[in-house]
Amino acid sequence: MGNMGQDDRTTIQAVLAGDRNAYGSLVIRHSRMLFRLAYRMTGNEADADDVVQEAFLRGFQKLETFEARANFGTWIYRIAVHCALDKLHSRRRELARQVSEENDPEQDAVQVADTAPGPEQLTFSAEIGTLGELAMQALTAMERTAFVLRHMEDRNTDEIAAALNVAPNTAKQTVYRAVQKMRKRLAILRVTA
Amino acid sequence: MTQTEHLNTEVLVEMYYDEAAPGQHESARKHLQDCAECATAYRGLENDLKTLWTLEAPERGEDYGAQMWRRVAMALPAAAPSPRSVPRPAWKWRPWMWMGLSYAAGCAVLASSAFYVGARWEHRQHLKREAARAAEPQPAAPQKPKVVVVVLGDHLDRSERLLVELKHADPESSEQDWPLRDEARGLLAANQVFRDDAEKSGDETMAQALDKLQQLLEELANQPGGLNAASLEHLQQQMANEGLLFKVRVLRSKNPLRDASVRVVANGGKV
Repeated sequence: MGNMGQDDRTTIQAVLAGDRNAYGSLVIRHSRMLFRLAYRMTGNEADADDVVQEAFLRGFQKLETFEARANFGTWIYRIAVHCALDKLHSRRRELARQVSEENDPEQDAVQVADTAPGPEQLTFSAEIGTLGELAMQALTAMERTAFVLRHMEDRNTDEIAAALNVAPNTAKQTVYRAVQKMRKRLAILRVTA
Repeated sequence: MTQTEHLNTEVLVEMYYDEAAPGQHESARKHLQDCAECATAYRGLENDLKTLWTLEAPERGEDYGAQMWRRVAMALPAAAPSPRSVPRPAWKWRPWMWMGLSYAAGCAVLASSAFYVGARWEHRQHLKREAARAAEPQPAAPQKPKVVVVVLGDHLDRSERLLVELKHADPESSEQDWPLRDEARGLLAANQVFRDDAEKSGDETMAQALDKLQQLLEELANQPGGLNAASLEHLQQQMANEGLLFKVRVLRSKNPLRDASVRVVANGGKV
């Protein structure tokens, strides 16, 4: 990590000096890590690819604000978290809009989609072992992000708080709330399946 | 925390993720050993979290980073991010710069010399052309015809005076010859114009009177050998027969357009 951090700093200096292509080595070095995070947060390969791309684009535009003593991997990771959050929010808005149009095309009001799975969906999902994914649909974007960072990315409370720009106690409560919601949804899914 | 107080779910979650404070963690672990109910709750949580969702991201190949860079590079803005401070290298004089400076000065002198020689040569050529042009005979400038503005009322006044002088001219005297002829020639062009205008406008009285006047003026102006007693008497008789003086006086006094009808004619008898 030390050598990688040094390499990253050298590369960043080159990019800031005008060598645009040098940014490519940063992308190559950190893409797979960001993809793993993005996939866990979005649950979708195409969305994950978009999140990775958007994260590196934002990183390029904000590179001048990067502190030389910071770790680029951590920095770009946080950017990717926010990109994934944005993706989740936009996906939820799109879903709500579709539900509204299906219910009443004449009605302009946006309705919130009911993410509870139906019986057929539950049976199918249980068969292919995606109970967890269905359970996560009960979470808000913030809760899902906090849970992924805690449960899958093994980030501690301080890191989650920094990534989400919230207080540590808020981050801890968000993880707890996510766990509670998922366990309830999981209990229902097990009974139904 | 006492032995009788059960662990809440929040603490259990903290324990699972190993996030409880050190003292709290030890106390909670000891409680779990002694409290079957809490131990069962913790195992349930542990089971859920372990089996809840083991979503593993699809493995991406080694070339994933390169593929992503191609995507990113296409979407990148044209300019590189602006650096916070890229110090410009300080300018410093170098000995080899004398060579460049000498070369530049030499080029400047050469260019100035070429410009000066060219300007002098061009000046000499210009003087030669001017001298040759002055030696050539200059073609006579075309003479512009003199034109005069005549008003119908003035024309009739002059015509009346001419006719009065002609009526009272002495055939035995030769002093009246040249002034009458010159005045007649001066009236010819204007009379022809106003006669044509009268014909076009359908003013037959005017047209007929000016036509008779035209014949008289032409004979008076173009009398071969000048006026003599016989020719003068002939013109006086012609004028009297036509009642020309009377007609001109009537036209001069009655015509409402005498001051409004203005024409431009060539001086000397041509329109």
